[in-house]
Amino acid sequence: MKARKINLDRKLLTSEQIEAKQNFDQVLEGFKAVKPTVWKNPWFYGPVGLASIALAVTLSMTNINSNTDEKNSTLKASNFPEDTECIKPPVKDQDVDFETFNVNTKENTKIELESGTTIEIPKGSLNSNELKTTIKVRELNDQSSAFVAGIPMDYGKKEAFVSAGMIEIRSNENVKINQNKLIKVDMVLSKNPIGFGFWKLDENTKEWIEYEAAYNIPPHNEKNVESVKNKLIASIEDKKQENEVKEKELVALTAPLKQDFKLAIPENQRFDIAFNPKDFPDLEKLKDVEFEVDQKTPYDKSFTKKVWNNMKLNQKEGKYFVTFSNATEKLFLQVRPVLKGVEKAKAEESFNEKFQGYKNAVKEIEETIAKNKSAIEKNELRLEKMIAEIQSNLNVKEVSQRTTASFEVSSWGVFNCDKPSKYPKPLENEVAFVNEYKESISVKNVYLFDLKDNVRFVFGENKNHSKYEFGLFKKHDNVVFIEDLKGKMLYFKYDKDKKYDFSSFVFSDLKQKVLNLDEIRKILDESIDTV
Amino acid sequence: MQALHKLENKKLTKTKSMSVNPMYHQTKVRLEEELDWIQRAKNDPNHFGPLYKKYHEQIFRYIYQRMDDEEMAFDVTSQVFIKAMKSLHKYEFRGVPFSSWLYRIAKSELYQAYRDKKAERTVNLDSVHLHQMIDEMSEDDSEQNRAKLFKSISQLKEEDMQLIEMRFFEKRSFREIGEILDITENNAKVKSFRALERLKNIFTK
Repeated sequence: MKARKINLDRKLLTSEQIEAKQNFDQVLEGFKAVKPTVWKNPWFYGPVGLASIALAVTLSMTNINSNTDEKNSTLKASNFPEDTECIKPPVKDQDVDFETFNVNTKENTKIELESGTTIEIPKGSLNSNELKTTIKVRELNDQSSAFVAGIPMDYGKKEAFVSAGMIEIRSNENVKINQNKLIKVDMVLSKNPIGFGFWKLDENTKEWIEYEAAYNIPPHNEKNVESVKNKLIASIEDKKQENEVKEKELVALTAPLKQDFKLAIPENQRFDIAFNPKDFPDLEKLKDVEFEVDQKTPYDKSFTKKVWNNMKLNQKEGKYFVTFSNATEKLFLQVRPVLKGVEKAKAEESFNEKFQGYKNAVKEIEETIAKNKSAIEKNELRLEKMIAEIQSNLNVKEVSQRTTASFEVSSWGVFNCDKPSKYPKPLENEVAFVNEYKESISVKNVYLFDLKDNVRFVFGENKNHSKYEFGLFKKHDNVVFIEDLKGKMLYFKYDKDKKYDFSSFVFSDLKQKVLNLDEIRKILDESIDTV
Repeated sequence: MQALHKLENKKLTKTKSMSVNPMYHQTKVRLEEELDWIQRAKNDPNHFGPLYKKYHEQIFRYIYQRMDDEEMAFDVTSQVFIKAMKSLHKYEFRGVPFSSWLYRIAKSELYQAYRDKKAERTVNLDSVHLHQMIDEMSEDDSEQNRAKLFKSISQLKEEDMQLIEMRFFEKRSFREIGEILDITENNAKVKSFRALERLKNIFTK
């Protein structure tokens, strides 16, 4: 490796000298000379940015039409919204209800949902000839509801969205929103939206388009945060130190050797030789022995097939040697005594016990190291997020104790706060899908739920990912739903701690049940790793 | 092998040197002003000027610290700001100060310059650094030890060199180092101490 060049006491440039070389015009020219990039791309969170997330959403409200008197009953299960090309529930006869509200178009209206999400409809916002107009709302704040509702979550060709909050707002077809009096929504989020974008579903293209929103993130209680942060740091350090000790222990562990137990090594040659026990008292103690070739250098392995007139055993400096001779040749081999018969059986038992002990010790240490690494990883991630969040809260004025996304609705549709997550790589081998009766399933679609990151991936009808490209996250818990050609839904839970034979991956314990939203919630929530 | 310079036995006084990045700890007013500039620059690149003026010197010093050629260092500095303007739409104040974001770009441009053979990786030390490092390593500040340390530094792996430079020569906080290298503050701390341990091992061999 080339030694690095080092200068000692090089003359420093002064600030004046450096300033004299500034040339912003040249830099601007250089920037303009570069091919124009898309200034806004999916990672551009609109003009708002976190510096202005202290958005006080207040409207001077007069004659607020309370929704408590006017709220109608929810739609019955038989009155689900119509399927569209874009939003098609995958589970037969299942969908997510809308809540409906009758709104007086001549008055300001504030709707408050159970989650705390509020929708403010200013007087004159709805262009309707009727005095009262129906507004339909459904919040899809978990994976189950977004799945059952059939909301597409793919982003581009390689990613799917993790959602922090989603809402669908609609009215009758002929009701339009006055573009000078937009509807204001303050949607409660289930996750910290740092790193998330805001989007509206374009139901023609089935693509998510970025949409302007502001995030309201309540500041933390400083003392608690500092204490948690310090505990995390201490925990990470402790685990790292423990792992260093464990690594050293692992290196120090040595496996027992068969040689130490006077046991034969199967691939080596062995033979019997008569000797006078009085000449070899050590061998006499072993009771029943034969000899195994212990020669490190090459030798004639066919010696056992030859006829030898004389075979003599010798010992020198604790090692044994046998001299073979006949009329034409002589062979000199290093050997070691190995046990036979009953003594061998006893020795084998001792060896196996010791070896098992060694294996157990190794396994225990390796498990501890792996567990610590996992804890370190999780805590480091938590620490990073915490630090980022603390930083971002520096300029935030307290608005509310809830984390929300505030946005304006100019047209009906689905609005989502989310961030993309990459599709898993396809499994190396072709996957066979069979049910619990070992019958092959004709697969229409496969829905993969990554329970670590709360993302849904679709293979099959998704034009970007055929069912043959199915993959999963082997280090996470996953739930896989399979829709067969008849529309029946089966599921399988992948346990990250279990070993699976991926050379012939089979859904061997699929259960066929009538699935509804609650059942699906149980299936997904049961497996959630809530560390 | 790099020939060792004759080290004069200078009388060095211990001084607590300031971090090279005075912009890291900004007042609230300056931070708000900066965020306003960033917002304007996002809408119109012509408004990037104040940010360029504010950070030009420290980005240049970061780059020139790591190469020999002064003109090339100015060139690379310009490239950093062009890249920053190109990527400004991606920047949001989410825990990473603008200066740290610029340093990340600077690091990337610097290594690209090395790969393109436009510049040679160089370390620029002064005698004060050597003295402070020897102090850090609890060794005697003798001419022999300084020469030994000089040689040891030349043998450090690049990753360790980066950390030693940022922490011990440039006096950056662990937090800033973490932001520049895109690792946690604690990780930056652990890695810096390990780099120092490895330097000590080379030194004592």
